[in-house]
Amino acid sequence: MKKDYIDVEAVAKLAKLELSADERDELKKDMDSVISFANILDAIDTNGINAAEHITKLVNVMREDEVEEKYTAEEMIRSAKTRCDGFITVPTVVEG
Amino acid sequence: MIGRSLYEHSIALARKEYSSVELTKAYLSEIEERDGELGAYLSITADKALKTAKDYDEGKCAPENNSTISGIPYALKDNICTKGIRTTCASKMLSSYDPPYDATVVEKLKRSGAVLLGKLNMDEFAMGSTTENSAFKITRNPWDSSRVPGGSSGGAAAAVAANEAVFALGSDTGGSVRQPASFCGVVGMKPTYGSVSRFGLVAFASSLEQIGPITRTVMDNAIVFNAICGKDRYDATTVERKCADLTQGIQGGVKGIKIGVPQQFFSAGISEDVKIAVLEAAEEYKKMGAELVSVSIPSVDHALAAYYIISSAEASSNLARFDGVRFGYRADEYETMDELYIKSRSEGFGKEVKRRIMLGTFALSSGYYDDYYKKALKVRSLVRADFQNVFSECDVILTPVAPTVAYKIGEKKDPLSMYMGDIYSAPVNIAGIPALSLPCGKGEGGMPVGMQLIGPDFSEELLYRVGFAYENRGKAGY
Repeated sequence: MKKDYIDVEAVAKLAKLELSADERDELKKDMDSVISFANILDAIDTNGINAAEHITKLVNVMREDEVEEKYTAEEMIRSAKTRCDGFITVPTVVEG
Repeated sequence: MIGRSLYEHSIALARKEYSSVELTKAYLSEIEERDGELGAYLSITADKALKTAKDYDEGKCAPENNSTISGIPYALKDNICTKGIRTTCASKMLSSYDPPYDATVVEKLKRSGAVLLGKLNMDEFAMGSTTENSAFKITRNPWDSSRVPGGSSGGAAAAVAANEAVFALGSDTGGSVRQPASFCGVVGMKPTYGSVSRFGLVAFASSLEQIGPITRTVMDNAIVFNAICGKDRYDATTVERKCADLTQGIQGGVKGIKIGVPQQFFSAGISEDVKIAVLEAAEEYKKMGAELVSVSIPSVDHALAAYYIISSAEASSNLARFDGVRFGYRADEYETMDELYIKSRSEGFGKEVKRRIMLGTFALSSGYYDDYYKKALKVRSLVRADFQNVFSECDVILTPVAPTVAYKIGEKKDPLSMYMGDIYSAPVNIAGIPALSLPCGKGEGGMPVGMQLIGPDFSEELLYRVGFAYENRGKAGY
């Protein structure tokens, strides 16, 4: 699976990051070195091995769907930078 | 009174040798005097602390909640949410974030009447091993101010080592409690995955991290662990099990205990001073009646690579929530929604955080997902199986925490060489098992060396017992 080419620009787009030219060059170098280190995983035979997303044996942990009045709406949105009448405001998404 | 252990303070409070207000004032004045240079704290909550202490002294703490930690001053890594107290993750992204809720561990400590002194510096979003990645300031090692305290819970370890808090809570994703504890000569625990609630811990890599105590002694660590562990309905990954009082069997000694010494943890890359100190500790155990067994964990070299893939992948997903809309930093200028997201993230995140997001996004991206992310998840199964096999040959494993003592500030510049420092600690998070870090002598420059005791799932009680025996070696009964 040797990958000798990482398209930093494409990855940044997916990550919703804007990089300066310097940042891009530095990240390219760093990512290449970390990914080539990670390529040691190549050598391990993992055929038939389970991919462990987590290590607990828990499956579908449910709880009662009960209404709790733990927080007010105001408390929950007070950290948003722009608000109006109990809503968070953002730039127009849909043309009117 | 400064410098005593939590356990000693607790006895003194019960005997009314001094009050919680007096104790709290003593720690606050220590912070005022030393923290300008040390830089362990990001915020100090003196008024709230004195009020909590006064409530404790006046007997307002409900008797059923009274415990060894009641009235004891402590501090929190700044990625653990505190209602009404700024929680920044040492990031510009959250520099003014005031959480609407307390983390479950905070709620538990509050109920017990423990006294919160403030919030502690860390690597931004817990990504780093030196606390130099904080967006606000560096923290210095209390043993040598030209060195780092380790990270990412560097503020927590430095505060406890410098007597600026009796105990602290950190978080450990790949060694972030154990390594700074080791660098600062204090005790740190990475609990079994699922034993402590992560509700209110700002997520970095959810399948790897646990909140853990940093203390001056092993006994203190067990006391704090008792106070924070247990199933939480707000964290579906916590495990239902009876929390035994871990201080009960702590004096049981190590006679007949089999201690595994894996050669992979003492080979290339380790500095001689660390190797000598940890192997001397192994000899001490032998003198105390433990049996040393040579063991092998072949997958350990691969565990670090798997760790950096999995943790970065989870980070890229977890940090997607920071988009400038509901909380956190928002760029001043934007026109479209997409611009709001991109500018807020690009201006709000620091260098290391961007690097991890980029690595993780790459590992999860179409065409690379199977080769990197999925492959790493399979390697996780192998690493866990390797550890489980070893525990059929021994009760606990003894290793160094990190390959060297604390680095000089500014010494580690290349990210891969920094990541290599996690080689002995990250496999434990990959396997999900518990590990205790405790001091075992001094190395280069008189800096503390830490050893790591690793056990099978939910073996914290045994780890504390084995750690306690070493800490009290030479004393009556050991």
